[in-house]
Amino acid sequence: MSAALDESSADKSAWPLLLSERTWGPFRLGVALATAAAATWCYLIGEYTGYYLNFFQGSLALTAGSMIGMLLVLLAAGPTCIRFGIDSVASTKPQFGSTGWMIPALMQFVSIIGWNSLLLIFFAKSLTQLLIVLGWLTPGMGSRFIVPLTTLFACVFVYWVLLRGASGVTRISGFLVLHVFVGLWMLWLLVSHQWPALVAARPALARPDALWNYTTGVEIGISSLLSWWAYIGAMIRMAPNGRTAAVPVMLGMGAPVPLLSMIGIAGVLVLKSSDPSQWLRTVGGPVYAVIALSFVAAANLGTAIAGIYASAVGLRNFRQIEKLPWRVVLLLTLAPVALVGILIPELFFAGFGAFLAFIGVAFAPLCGIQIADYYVVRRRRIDIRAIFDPSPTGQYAFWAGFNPVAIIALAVGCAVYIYLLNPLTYESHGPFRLLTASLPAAFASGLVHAVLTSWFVVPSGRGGYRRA
Amino acid sequence: MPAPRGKIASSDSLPAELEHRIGGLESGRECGDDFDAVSLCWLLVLGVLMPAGLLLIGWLA
Repeated sequence: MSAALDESSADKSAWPLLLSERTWGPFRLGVALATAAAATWCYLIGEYTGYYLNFFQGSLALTAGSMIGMLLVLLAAGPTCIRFGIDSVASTKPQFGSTGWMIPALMQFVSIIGWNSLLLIFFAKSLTQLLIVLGWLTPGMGSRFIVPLTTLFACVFVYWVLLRGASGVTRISGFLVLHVFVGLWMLWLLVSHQWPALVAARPALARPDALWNYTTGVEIGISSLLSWWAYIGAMIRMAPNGRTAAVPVMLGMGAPVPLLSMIGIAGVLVLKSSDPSQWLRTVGGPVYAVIALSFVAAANLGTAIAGIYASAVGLRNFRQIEKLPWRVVLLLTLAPVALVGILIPELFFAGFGAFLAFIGVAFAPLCGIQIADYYVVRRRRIDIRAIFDPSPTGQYAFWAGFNPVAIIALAVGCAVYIYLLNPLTYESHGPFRLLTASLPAAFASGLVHAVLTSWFVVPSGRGGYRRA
Repeated sequence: MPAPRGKIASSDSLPAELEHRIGGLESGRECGDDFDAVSLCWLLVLGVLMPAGLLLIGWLA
């Protein structure tokens, strides 16, 4: 294999990228991240916020929560990914061990595949609606034939784009990022047409406790953005340093979600529907409906491309998959999405959201563990060789490849989160109304990880920690 | 297109291409810089101060 070929395909592996291969500047990174972040989930996030808060408070709480969540993700995975050009999954090996990293890898895979199955089904439904609005399709055929077919078409398109690796992501995002501006136009349209109703609207599920409602809005923002942990490493490793990545991540990935979620907040408050493809037809007729449906389709496709890329790079950390051709890894990553979209789209639509809610619970503790480990326990010292050393004597082998301390800390964080806030029922306990659930969960995990590591792991000489 | 991998295993069984990449990182030549003071300031502004301000405005409204 020639050196040139090695470099051209480096972004399709989980191996560290060389500085010469990390060519994304702030603008390119910001555009790619914005394309990845803006999707149909923004309406769902906005819808949930709009159940508890009015437009003004909901927008501010969601924006604040999103920026806090983005900061946590960036501080957790960012430094290791940026310094060494590796992805999010590889960045967890110093905490979870040379085999234990499979736990975050599984979280990433399930989260990305689950969400992207939903997004591609959304894409298929939007495309089907678009064809109906244009008069090219008879209503009623959609769910049985067209949705599976368009899901398959979307998977083939994603596969084709990603054959080029990261350059496929950046090429398509340069075009698809336009949908963010279409989204802002839709927001302006709704706000300008419905301002009096929007100001007067009262959230449907608001509780008597105003602070609880407000904190819930913040929590929705934080927990939504924490899911970006799964995506962020594969994208920011294309940037050469922290300064290049910091602002594009915060503004490119952190800001579009709350901005576009305002469409969902306004929609559910005024028109009782967060999905613009439903209400825009009422507001502006078929032309606006076509624009909205095209927007939804483009948005979901852009996110799916970034997600499948991140997941495929994450899978490369498995030794067996590391050696497979890129096209086979892409097929392995896309196969579950295609099967879900073709065989069980409606069943998946109805039930998988609950599972994903619980998967999301684990990202706050994961971030807490990584932040505590990197900044407090290791004091920024990471051994890149140990990250790629799978031997039982490697520095990050801990005990049989697993670090029990990180696993305990992860479990404690999840328990804290679920005690404070049940993500399905939104029943809360204790100091949730003052602290949210994600922040205490991240803090508890980080604290448990730091304390137990100092007490047990450092004295044992395992994990590559330096004794004080 | 296959992932980059070396044809010859090095002494510690890492593929040669991976060994080359790790060697570059260990020497510091291929290492990216962590967040510097300027980027940490941006993170403080965008991730802490701005959210705090927004929350205060929203709560007082």
